[in-house]
Amino acid sequence: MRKRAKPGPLSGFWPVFRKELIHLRRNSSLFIFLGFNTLVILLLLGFAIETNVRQIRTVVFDLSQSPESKELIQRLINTDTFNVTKMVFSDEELNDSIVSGEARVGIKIKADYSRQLLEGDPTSILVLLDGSNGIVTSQAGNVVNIVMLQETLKRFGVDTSLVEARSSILFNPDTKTPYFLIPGLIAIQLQGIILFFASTAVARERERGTLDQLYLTPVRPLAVIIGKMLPYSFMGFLQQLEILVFSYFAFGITIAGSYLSLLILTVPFLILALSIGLMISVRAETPVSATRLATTIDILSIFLSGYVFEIDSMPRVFQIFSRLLPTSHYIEICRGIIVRGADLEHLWQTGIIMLVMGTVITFLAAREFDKRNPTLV
Amino acid sequence: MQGAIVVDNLTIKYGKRVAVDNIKFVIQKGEVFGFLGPNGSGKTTLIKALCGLIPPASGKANILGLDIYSDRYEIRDHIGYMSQKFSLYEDLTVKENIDFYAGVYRLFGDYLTQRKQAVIELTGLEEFINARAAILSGGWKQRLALACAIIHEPEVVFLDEPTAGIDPVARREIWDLIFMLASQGITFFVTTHYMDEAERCGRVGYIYYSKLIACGTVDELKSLPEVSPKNTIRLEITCRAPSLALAFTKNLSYIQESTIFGQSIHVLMQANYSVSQLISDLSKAGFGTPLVNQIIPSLEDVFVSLTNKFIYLKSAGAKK
Repeated sequence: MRKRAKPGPLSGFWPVFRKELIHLRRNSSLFIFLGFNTLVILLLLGFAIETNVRQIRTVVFDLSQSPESKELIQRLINTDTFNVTKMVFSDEELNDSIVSGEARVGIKIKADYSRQLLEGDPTSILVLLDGSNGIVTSQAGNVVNIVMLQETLKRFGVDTSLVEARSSILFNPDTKTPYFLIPGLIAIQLQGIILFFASTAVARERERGTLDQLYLTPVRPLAVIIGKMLPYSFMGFLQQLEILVFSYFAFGITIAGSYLSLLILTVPFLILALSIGLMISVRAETPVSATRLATTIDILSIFLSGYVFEIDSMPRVFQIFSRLLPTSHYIEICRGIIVRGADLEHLWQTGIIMLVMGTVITFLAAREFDKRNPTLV
Repeated sequence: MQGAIVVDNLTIKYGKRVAVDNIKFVIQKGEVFGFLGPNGSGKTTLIKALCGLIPPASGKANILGLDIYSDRYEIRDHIGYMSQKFSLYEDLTVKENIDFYAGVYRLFGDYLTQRKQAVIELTGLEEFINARAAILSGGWKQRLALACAIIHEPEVVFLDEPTAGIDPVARREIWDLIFMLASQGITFFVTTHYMDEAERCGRVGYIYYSKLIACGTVDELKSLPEVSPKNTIRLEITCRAPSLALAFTKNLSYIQESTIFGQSIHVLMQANYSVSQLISDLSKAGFGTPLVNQIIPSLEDVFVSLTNKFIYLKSAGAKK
């Protein structure tokens, strides 16, 4: 009677895989928590967060009190960028309302504004901008400049519609924020969950002492790593589906490209994120330190992977660093397929990059697992 | 050298610290070898190394003819291991734990069914088969751990303090299981702190400060010259206030060694003095009429003597 199967480099994969599935099934409260967590974040992103700047609180100190100055104020209001909340009547008041945060922008119109304008002399208005909020400041500054330019041209009797840059925003014509944020959220949230599970997968066994026993069996390191990766990747797909379904019903977001392509390109991302998580887990002494490191990567991903801030605007060093984060690649894929309708032919290189990185890290994690002695005490 | 476990001048280092220092011993097939020593003396490190988890700094060792380090993956098919701390999965059931280890050891087909049946019967776990491991009591947990450690019919089993912290009845049952399996030809390497368990082992080794300072059958150890030196007799004194009497006997010139054992004191006395001398010295000092009997040394006496001698030699060496 043949007693045992022949050992191979993946010996022990199935038992580890089945065991991890049981662990997951027994931990169903965590599932519910994570599903709920994702929903809350989706709701926040979809309804509360707006990256397009509008309705900036503005105070006006109008010394001119002329039809011309009134017209200027109306023009500014009409841009929808400014919301004039108050008229003030002294420099001090103007300054205070910005310092106190009551308004972000203060506009002062000189007493002789109207006279200078009508006599054809150069004139000016004073615009105070709150520098503590960069995005608001630059947007407000731009809009004021445009309005002033139009005003000037009008005074010279030039038709302001003579030269017009007609920009056409592709794919997301209304520049709706959810379209911009949700594909990125899929990447960030997926990575968050993957790292959360994977980073504690080995560290937890080390803490409970079950790793000691595992090390003394003929199970091969690569089998442990891959056996633990697979069940968590199911979690990843489930999470992705949850976000897609919810954003369809809540925000009407549909996938412009093909879902199949998205699934195919999600595989290398999951491999990469899982391998990083397991690498952390193999090296960490305790689950707590593993989770801490995983959280750090999550935070870096939010800031550096182009989720909110454009990678191209970062200094070179950070651009390179950003490319080491799984999410920076995967966000490209999600935006590409969901918003722009891109397909495998446009994005396969990004997939290959993640696949190569992921495979290398998987093998490194397996080697590290082999080298790390268990803590038999 | 032939044997199930052959350790030949093995030294293991943790960084610069020597954890196991030039150890040499042989364990034959079917032996139950007891391995004793204080905490931190190197017991667990030696087990780790024998299982191929730490490369030896020097020397060699083999298990069933397989080198402990270069053949480490192959060895793991032939060894079982059970630790003092329950190291199975608490959120898995008894059956799922057994299935997991059977799978990890690549058992399949009829053999798998037969082995699962065998270990469940042997350990009597049938009634808990679908219970989560977490709810089992200490003794049952150890039975489950043993079942998982022997599911693949290992030739050599390492038990690292298998009975630490479990009740006396469960302890007894675990040992009965060990001896039953040993009679089937399985070799056991067992570490323990319990002297009564050590007395039951065929042979024992005693490790102290990383060195194996004694190794042999219990009787051999008891008759070692360090333990029972020529011209000395070992006596058991039963008297009033044994703890005070202990201090008193330690100061007597003809007493070489004195240790308290419950309500009595064990002393090693120079044979050219008489028992009546000791009795009279004790009663003069106000310990009533002590009862003194000659005894053969217990295993605990053996380790106390060996440890004292080792410390003495070490400090003498340090003075040089």
